[in-house]
Formats: sequence, structure tokens, C-alpha cells
Amino acid sequence: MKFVKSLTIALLVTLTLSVNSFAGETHSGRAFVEAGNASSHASASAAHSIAGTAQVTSAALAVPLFVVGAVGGLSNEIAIDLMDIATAPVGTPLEISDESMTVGPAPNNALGEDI
Amino acid sequence: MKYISRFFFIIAIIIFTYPVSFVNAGSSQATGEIHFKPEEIVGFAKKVEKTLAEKGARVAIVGRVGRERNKLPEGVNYTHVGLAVYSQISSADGRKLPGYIMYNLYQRANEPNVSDLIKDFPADFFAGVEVMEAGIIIPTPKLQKRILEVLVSQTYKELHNPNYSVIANPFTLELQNCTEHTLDVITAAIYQTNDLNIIKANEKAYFDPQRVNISPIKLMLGSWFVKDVATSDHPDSPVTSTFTTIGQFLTKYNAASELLTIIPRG
Repeated sequence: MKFVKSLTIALLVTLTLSVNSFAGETHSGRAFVEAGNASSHASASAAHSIAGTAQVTSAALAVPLFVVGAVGGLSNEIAIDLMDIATAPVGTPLEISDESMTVGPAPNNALGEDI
Repeated sequence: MKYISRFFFIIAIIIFTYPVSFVNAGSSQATGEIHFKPEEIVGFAKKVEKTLAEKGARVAIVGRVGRERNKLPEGVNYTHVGLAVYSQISSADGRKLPGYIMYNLYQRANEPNVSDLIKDFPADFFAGVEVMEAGIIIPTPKLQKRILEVLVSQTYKELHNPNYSVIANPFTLELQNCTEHTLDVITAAIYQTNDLNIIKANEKAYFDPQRVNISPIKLMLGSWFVKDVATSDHPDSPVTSTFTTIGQFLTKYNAASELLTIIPRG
């Protein structure tokens, strides 16, 4: 009888631990989110930290830099000085800006707690 | 005393019979804790961009590690996959800059069983990683062009199913995760179709998925208590798509030019 009781308790404890670890492991992104929310959507969040560095530039729009086939329809949006890159064959070494871009925090984080 | 010993003995037996923890860990925007200094993340993201640019990659498949490696299940090396696309980026002050933009399927922060298609930048993409490492698959030039054509068409959005599961079965239409959507985009590009029946039929025929090595009990509990874990789309042993299996698929059918790993030093 004692054995059955201890087995039951052990199973309950273990299954609870198992589910908790599953939830914690399954989606670290959620853990990030929860951590972010817990810290008032602010300085502790990864996105805020990145956006807050002097090294990054805020950016909004982007179009593929390649003029071929269906992608060619976007060619009128490409700056003239980047057109050579846009028309170069795939595999040709590409120019890259030294600046780093970021989209900034998600809207709920940008709005803060009082939404 | 005997009672306590037996109790711990049984707990130990059950715990040690569980397989290594399952995790998907991170098809989400990094809206929380940061594990590296911001300047380290920005520097690493720029290194990834420069490596891709040196190799002339217009499109690359990029994997990140959102969880410590020893907490990942067998066969899973990366926790999120996105497509890097060489682009003209318009800065907030109006300049046109060449760089890469990431095409992602991200889980919603407050609704993890629902996803959205979101574009961000490499620095955003790597912001929440726990291991500073990028897995890179560079498709062949022909496939890069075709993937680009899908990305700028309606097909990219049409292939998105917002019903999310971390262990989505790549052969069914019920649920989807970031790797399955990426695989669907690649398959759509290869066969130049937006017909999901054709896409799924060819994936079933040619793509070898990763078996989900989780104990049935843990999986059952997960599907009960964790919103973004579902088993309803797995009629048999659960399988899912991963960065690694996508790499193997493209390599097997000569559709990949190069597979590489990028770390901060080296």
C-alpha cells in the first residue's frame, strides 16, 4: 500500500516537473517574451537593447536587389547607383553597407505598459 | 526511511527514462532577455551579412540557436530558420543601403499557437540567441532566383498557415512552423508552383524529415498544456522539418551551393 502511495506521489511530482520543463523549454521565445513583459517592456529586452546601440540605423523599407524575372518588376524602386549590383549575376561578390539596420521594438513594446 | 528511499528511487527511474528535452525554442521575435552585449550581436550579424555578400548570395537560408545546445533534442541544431535576401534598404533618413533583410515566420508573443510573416534585419534576427552561431545554406544560383521570385509574389503569403505548432508535420496542411514554411517556399520555387497539393506531394516524395525524439508521455502532456505543441497533425510517429534536414534535402538534389557555419571568431 505504501508502495502504491509513493508511486502515485512520485508520478504526480515527476509529471508536473515534466510539463513545467516542457513549457519552459519548448519555446524560449516565449520565455523571452515573458521576461520582456516582466521587465516593463523596456531596457532588458533584446530588441530594445539592439535598437538602443549607437551602431544601428532605423530602417523601414527594403526591396530585393536583383533585377531578373518577376523580381525585375521592382527595378524602378532601385537606386541608380545600386543598379550595377542589382543586375550582376548570382555569385558575384556583393557590396554591403557597414551600417547595421534594425526594425525597432514590436508595437506593444513601443507603446509600453499603458496600452 | 524506506518509504523515502523508494519515493526517490521511483522519481529517479522516471526522470532518467525520459529522453533529452524537446525544444523548438524560438520562432519568435526577440522581445525579451538578451544573452550577449548588443554590440556583440550587431557585430556578429554584420559578419554574417559580409560572409553572405562575399559569396555573392542573393538568397540564403539562415538558422539561429535560441536555446543552449545541450537543451536541444537529438537531431535539432537550430531553433529558428529564416531567409536572408540581399536588398536595397531605405534608412529612416532616406538613404539607400545595400544589405540583407530576413524573411521570417514568427510566433505571436501572446498567442504562441499563431504565427505571422515578419521581415526584420540580421541584428534583430540574432538579438535573442543563446549561442552565437549561424547555420547557412546557400542555394544554387538557379534556385536563388526562383526563391526570390516566390518571395516577391503572392505565393509567399499564400503558403503561410498561421496555425502554429513547434513540431508541425511538414507533410500536412493543418499546422505549420518556420521551417515548414521555408521548406514550402523552397519547394514552390523548385517546382514553380503555388499549388499546395503539388508542393506537399513532392515534399512527401523527396524530403526526409527529422523524427521527433520525445517520449510519448511528454509529448502528450505538452499537447495538453503547451499552446504551441500539437500532435493532431501526426497520425504516426511525429516528424518535423529542421534547418539540418532542409540542408540535407538541398544537398541530396544538388540544389545547394554551400553549407557553412558562422561563429564570432573563425
